[in-house]
Amino acid sequence: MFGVSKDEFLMRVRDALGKTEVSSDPEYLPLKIRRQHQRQKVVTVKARADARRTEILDSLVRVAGLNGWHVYRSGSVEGVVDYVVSLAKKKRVRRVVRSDDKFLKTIPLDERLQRNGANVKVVRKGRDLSRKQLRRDMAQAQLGITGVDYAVAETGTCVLLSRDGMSRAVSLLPTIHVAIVEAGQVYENLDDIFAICRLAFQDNRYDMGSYMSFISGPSRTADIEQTIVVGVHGPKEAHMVLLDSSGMKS
Amino acid sequence: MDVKTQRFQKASTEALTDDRLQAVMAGAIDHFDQARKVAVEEVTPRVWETYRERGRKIKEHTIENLDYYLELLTNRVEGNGGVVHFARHTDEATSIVLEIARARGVKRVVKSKSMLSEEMGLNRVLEAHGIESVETDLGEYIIQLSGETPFHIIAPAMHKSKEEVGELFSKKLHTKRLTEIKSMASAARQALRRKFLEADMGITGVNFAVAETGTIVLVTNEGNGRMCTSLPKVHVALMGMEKVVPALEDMAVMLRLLPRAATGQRITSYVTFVSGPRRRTDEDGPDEFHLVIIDNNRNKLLADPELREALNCIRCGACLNICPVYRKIGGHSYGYVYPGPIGAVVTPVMVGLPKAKDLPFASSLCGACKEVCPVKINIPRMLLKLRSDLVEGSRSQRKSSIFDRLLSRIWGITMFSSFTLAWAHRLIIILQKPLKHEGNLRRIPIPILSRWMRARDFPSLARYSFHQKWKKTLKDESKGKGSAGNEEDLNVIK
Repeated sequence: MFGVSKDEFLMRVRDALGKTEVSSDPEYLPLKIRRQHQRQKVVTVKARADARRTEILDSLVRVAGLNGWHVYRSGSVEGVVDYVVSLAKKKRVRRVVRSDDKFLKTIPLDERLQRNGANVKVVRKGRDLSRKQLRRDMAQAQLGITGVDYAVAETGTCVLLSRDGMSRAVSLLPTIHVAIVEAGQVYENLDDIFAICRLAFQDNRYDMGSYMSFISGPSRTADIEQTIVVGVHGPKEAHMVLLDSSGMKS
Repeated sequence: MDVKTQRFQKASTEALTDDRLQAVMAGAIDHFDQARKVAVEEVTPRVWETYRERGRKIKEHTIENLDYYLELLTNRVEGNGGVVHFARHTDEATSIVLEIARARGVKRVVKSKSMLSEEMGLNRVLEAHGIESVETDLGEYIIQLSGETPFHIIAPAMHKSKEEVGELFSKKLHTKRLTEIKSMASAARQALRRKFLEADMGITGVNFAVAETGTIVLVTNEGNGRMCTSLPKVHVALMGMEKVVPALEDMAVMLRLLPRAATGQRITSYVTFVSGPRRRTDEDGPDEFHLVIIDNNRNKLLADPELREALNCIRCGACLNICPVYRKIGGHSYGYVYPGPIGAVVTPVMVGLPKAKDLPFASSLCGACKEVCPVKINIPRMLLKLRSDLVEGSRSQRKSSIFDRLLSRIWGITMFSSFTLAWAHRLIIILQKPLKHEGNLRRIPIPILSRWMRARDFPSLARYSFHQKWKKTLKDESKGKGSAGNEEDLNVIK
């Protein structure tokens, strides 16, 4: 055992605070909201997002653009596919990796990319890839395509959870990251997202999953003479493709 | 880290006379301060004020109940499958990290920026044990290559010009002589990409830790934090014990405060939430997650109700950027990990007041730091408190010299009555005559005064005191039309 035990450490903290016994629950309000109420809160959040959809999408597009995303708003699935394919063509992309995302499976993206001469790998380690192989593929890919779990208008952010079929590296190692966002995934602000995440945490037996990434533009640094350079470790380009079919009859 | 706070006088004098450093700093620091102002304007100062108020409340509540939230955090991290370690001092923290590395045969470590690891001097210890430890934040990487310590808590290499970085890279990375910043970043990307892919262990700091969900939060721009937490098999996170917040929803406030105050961004390119090691069904991520919670003298701040609020600090660096003293003397002069106004408060407590007795005085008490602090920490009040501790403290710590005491004695006599003051005035008018030069005094050849006057003007005493002026002319004028007065009047008012 290196260091000290939790009890000894906490006793020192208590001493410093001048407390003589173990602190009782400080009754912090946000922690006191039970699952049922949290669920109601989320229902309200979702209703607000639906009611103000157009406004929220406009704001996402605006802020994401300011943060350095290349934003493309498309009214149709074909538009989304066309955008990604022409981007791949323009950048002469040979290798593509994409997450095993429910939505991405339903659109004819892989075929179109392959027809244009790109090799598309779907990330799914459990099936056929070892950890090493997965990493090599990812590091060699020029283009990584992911869906998102949520997007936040306030900050121009895509929220990606790490789980089955969703590698952390698809949005990190390739030179270009394309995030495909569906209109219904967009929320107004950070409070909304954390309310939703907390409910998921409560619903999933106090587990919010191992990893959540907020991505709000390309990788960047200003560490030399405050000059902004994009793509220092992560993607040099970040594209947000927003599928917004609200203008169309379904 | 070696404590060099005793060298403050010498180091700050050197910084002041280093023209190259002064030039580089002037532009750099303004850049950050301007960016912050623009970001605050964007959300409007009124809304910004509500964020600050909420941020302060969250931190205050957490610190007051720190034992409770550390316990909750520990339980939840363990529930997520992580391991939590506790270290009272940096030595303990270092042995914990070394033991984790040793037991797993770790040879290569990638690190993302952590000020706490600077407190530990971790890189040096790891290297001494034959473990390669590479800083991956570009600024930290530059600092590591040049064998220095960070100059600023969020822009570690702020003091380096691109020419210096180009030279450093050609020497250490054997690149050709680079002149473009873009190609330097690209060279670092290449060199570090390989390190990321080969590393056995990733070490990161912690910007915030959410107690309820057992989550650590990393706020970064480059993506190196994501690399360190995704690629190696083992992730070790180093956390100062004050970094905890109670609830996930508190992060909404903290994420509005930190990036704006630090770099003027709405949010950083990446915010990463790590809740334990990869789950069984995850595609990637580390197999092990270790959280090391470290005290290292923070309990001294906690134990003093007057200094406790220093633990609210979220390490944004805004107080550094606005501080007229930091802006001139730079980060290295302070001699420890945390420079600037907040450093002048926490460093003396962490390294011991006698060792850092100059730091509480490295401030003009202008209050700008308090105005910009995103969690409204009253830094000037704490600096005064430390000054008072120094004066009231043990004889060995006592700051006041015989000279100081003599001076206050003379001051006391002079100010005793208007009669003595008038005589003193007359005396000084006579004494200063040979020294007068264009309204100021020439340098007085007494060592303590001449040093002080080297960089400052010392106005000569006006011929007539305000009292005399008032009686003679001002009284009548103020009754009349209230003129602006002549040259001599202005001198009087000065």
